[in-house]
Amino acid sequence: MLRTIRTSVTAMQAASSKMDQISLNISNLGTSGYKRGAVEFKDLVYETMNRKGYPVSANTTGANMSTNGTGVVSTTSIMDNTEGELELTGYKSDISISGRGYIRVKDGNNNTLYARVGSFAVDAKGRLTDSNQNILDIRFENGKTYDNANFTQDNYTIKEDGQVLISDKNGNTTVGHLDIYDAIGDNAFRYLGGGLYAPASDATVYRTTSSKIVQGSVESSNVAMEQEEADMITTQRAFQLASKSLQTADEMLGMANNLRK
Amino acid sequence: MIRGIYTAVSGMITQEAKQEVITNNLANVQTAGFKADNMVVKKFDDVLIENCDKLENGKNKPTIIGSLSRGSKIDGTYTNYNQGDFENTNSTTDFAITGKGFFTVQRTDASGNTKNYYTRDGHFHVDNKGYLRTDSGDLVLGLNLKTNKEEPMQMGQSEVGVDSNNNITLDGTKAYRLSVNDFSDYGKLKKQGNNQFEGDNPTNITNSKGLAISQRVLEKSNVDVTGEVVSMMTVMRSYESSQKVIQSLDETLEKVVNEVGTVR
Repeated sequence: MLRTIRTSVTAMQAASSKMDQISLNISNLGTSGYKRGAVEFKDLVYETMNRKGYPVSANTTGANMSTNGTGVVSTTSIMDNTEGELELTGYKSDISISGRGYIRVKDGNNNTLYARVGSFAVDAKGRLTDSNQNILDIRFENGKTYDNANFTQDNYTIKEDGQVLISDKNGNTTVGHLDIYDAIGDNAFRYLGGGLYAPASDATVYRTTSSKIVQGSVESSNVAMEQEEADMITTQRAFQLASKSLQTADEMLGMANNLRK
Repeated sequence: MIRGIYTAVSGMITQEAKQEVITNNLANVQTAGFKADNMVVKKFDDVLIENCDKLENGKNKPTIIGSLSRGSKIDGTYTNYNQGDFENTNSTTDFAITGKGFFTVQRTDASGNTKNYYTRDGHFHVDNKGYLRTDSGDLVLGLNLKTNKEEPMQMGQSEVGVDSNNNITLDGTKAYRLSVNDFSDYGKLKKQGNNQFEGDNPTNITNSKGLAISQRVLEKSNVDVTGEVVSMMTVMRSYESSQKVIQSLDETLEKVVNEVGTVR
């Protein structure tokens, strides 16, 4: 009977970690660049029923031997890398990617982080920074740096292939490239929050040219509300079923307790 | 009288075991590729009872009263291999088999030995080295169409597709076939946890004509919730009846000991 209680508890735990993931997805419905995570389940080990005090047929090893499962566990969340819809905003500062990959930013400690989408404003030192002061990592050419490229709010253009142009009275000058990076594997990038990702320790990050930079647009999250709602309903019912099993086990234990009045 | 108590207790224990199986089914109601179990109860062999109360020519003569069952026992767990419902997903690395067969996955243990396991759960993903893996981290095996060898599937960064002949295409080029095995006797399959089965003498049906592999689809658990909840209720009530039997036997025994045996 205690096995039944433990099995029900594993089911309730698994259902609630799925529910955690669903609520994370739903709460990030409006977060640009957010990728939904998916939690699945797997069953736990099976144990034989041929144990002390259990009346079992002689058949304990061959076909259809008496075993019972010990519950369920939720798996690690796997990132759904499908692309969200690109929303046109018309602001030059909004940069997103069409296709796979990430753009690179540097944080205050010069650590490299990755992002799917970003709104970058020109700060006092002429650098393109997001709202958390992370600096957009541009591969500068022709001796240019942020210090001498003279970015202003509206003088720069980023082309589809990542070419960064600055226009002034002498025409357009290429100052560098905004590169797109990618790595093999669905879970190669870990979500850090704030729209930023970091590569997993065993991921090999490389530069890709098969995706395109889209300036003036924002990628919406790829969470589909209908799917999350449906998942939420089934998960809640699964939780309820597990709690009913727990309740039944408790009642049965109560009966066993009441054998002796 | 005392025997009756043991008979009723054997009933309570088997019902308890049955409840364990039902609870496990309910716990796995959302587990992809899960196959429900059913525990079968069997009665113990009957015993013949007789008494020697009858006197004939001054001697006791045995009279057969009839047979008596000594209770119930667990006969075995049978797994229901019926197909579960299909659910559409967004992921290109979700697969499902229509009809018979199991995906083949390879697990490497701590000492470096590999062993194949079989699963109906086609929720796979590409790891950071480009290999197709299950949620438990086991490698998914496929038939390499170039070398005709069974090996872990290297998907890399490619766009995964499935054509009508069950070939896995990478960026539109046929590259692999998911390795699918079937068994002649499902009764001998052993559940291993992780949605996997262990079995000997698999029949490779990777290239079989009748096989149909769908992409962006997951086979859900085949647990019948209503049926399981009904069995849960039945089992609980049956447990309760056995408990009542024990209680009334206890009351009768009490009368025997305290009232019949009283000396006034």
